[in-house]
Amino acid sequence: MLKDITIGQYFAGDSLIHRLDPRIKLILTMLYIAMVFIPTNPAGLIAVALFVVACYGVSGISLSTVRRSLKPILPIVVFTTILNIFFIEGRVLVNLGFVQITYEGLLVSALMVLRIVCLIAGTSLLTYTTSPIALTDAIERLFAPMRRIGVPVHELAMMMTIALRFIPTLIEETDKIMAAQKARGADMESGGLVDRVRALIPILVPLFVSAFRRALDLATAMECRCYRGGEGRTRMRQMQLMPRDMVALVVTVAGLAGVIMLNGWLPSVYG
Amino acid sequence: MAVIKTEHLTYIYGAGTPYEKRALDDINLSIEAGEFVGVIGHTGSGKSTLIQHFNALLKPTSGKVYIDGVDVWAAGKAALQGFRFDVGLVFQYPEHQLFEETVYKDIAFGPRNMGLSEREIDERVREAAHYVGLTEAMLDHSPFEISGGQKRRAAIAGVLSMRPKVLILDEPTAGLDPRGRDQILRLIADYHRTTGSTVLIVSHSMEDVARYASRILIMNNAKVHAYLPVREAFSDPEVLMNMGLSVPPITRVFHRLSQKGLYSGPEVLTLEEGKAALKAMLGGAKDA
Ligand SMILES: Nc1ncnc2c1ncn2[C@@H]1O[C@H](COP(=O)(O)OP(=O)(O)OP(=O)(O)O)[C@@H](O)[C@H]1O
Ligand SMILES: [Mg+2]
Repeated sequence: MLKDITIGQYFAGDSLIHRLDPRIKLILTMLYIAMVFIPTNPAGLIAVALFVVACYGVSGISLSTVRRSLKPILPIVVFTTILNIFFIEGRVLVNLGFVQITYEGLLVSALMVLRIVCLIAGTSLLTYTTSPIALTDAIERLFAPMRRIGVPVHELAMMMTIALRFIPTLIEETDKIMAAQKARGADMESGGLVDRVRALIPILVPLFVSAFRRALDLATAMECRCYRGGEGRTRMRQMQLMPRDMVALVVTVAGLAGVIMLNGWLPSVYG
Repeated sequence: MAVIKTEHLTYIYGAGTPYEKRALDDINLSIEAGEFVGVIGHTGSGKSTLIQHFNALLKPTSGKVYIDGVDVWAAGKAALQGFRFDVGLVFQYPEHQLFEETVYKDIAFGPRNMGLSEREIDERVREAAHYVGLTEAMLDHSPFEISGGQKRRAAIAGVLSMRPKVLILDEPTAGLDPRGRDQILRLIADYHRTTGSTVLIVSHSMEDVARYASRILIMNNAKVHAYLPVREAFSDPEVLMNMGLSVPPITRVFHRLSQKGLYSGPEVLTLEEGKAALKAMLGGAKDA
């Protein structure tokens, strides 16, 4: 049922990539995103693709998991690909009268699809190998300097942590409430739009009631343990940069430099 | 005829994922109409999963479920709703599913889904409210501003109003005080007696089960350990203890007595029976 939905799923593991400092992983991911957008030639992008495939190899996560993350955006990819194929001018390969397919159009489309796949694959690797808690922790640390300009970094990170923590709970709760209303004959699968929206009321009202109840309970529990915001708060788990973090950083920066150089040397397909 | 029957019923949560869990394993059961069944078993033994098969909420991974002799999953999707009206299921903490503006409207939700006339709905709502002991005045209250015990009763009325042939309740007394617990159990027993319907009740309280049920269904590690008359079920405390269960305290006392040769007679299940047995023993001793 609803449990099958996976949002930024984390696969616990013990690979080199799992063990990297989450802050470094966040920075590496940003570098990687730059790496994906720089190449203007297929060869450069293929180099990036090989890099991300190698990363998956190290992480021990099967490349086929990426396929699942790609599924939701597939329609957009197909749509833009078609537009690109037909509307880019150049050497004509197929002439259908009112539209024509050009060599340049095919090349640009292929490049775009590969770019999107690389982007999703690389950024997914971050959430596959980093627990949500570690990730929000890292975000809090990285953005800590922004506190000086009045951004409530700790509070935002805490909100994110709590939200992530409650996603599975709320999904489970929704499952239960849906089952209970179905037991009273609620029909959620048939009827027109209005009927379907109306059928949501018996689910949403109890869900909100329970979410508020949980929020109040959590607030009380946090206060009982003397939580009072980020001021002067210390941490149980200290993050410490290790040699392996440096190595990963150097490798990625070198990769980025390589991609930039390769790109300057190869011809651009965008003319 | 058996009102609920299962054949080789197996259910696996998350089949095909790393989190696969076999919650029911080859269940073969046949529950006769009119029984009052107590369902017991250690936590995670599969009780809740089993009862959700009895009203077509869960589809067996393999095996069959029959309601009144009809194969539930062979009848097509449209028929499922009908099975859910025939077999009323009250979930654990049912008060968490209340959603309407008034108690009246919430109890009417089931009958309305059945497509009954307004008159019929009204009749059923009042009847159900009467069964659970909610007053007329309370029907106009919001279900969010009545007490916890009243909420629980309103939620149970929401299922009774469908007049199910089989009533199943999953731990209906969880989280209530002793008085509230007794009231709920008594109203269920009344409903059973007056309507002659079949009742299944999942409970962790051996005393409650011993007092009200006629048969006991013992679940253990996704399997049915036994399905037998209540007196036989509590005749061997050792077996139950090994499954993380127990027998009512009074039954245990009489077990000790009979081990010491001081009591010989049928299994004692309730305090009343214990009192009577003691009186007989003492009276008998005096006569001798
Ligand atoms: N939605 C679910 N997804 C995955 N596994 C589940 C789900 N619901 C139950 N299980 C697992 O199935 C097994 C049986 O659960 P079930 O809820 O039927 O037990 P139970 O006998 O009702 O326990 P309790 O007395 O605690 O209510 C348990 O091991 C549980 O972890
Ligand atoms: Mg249960």
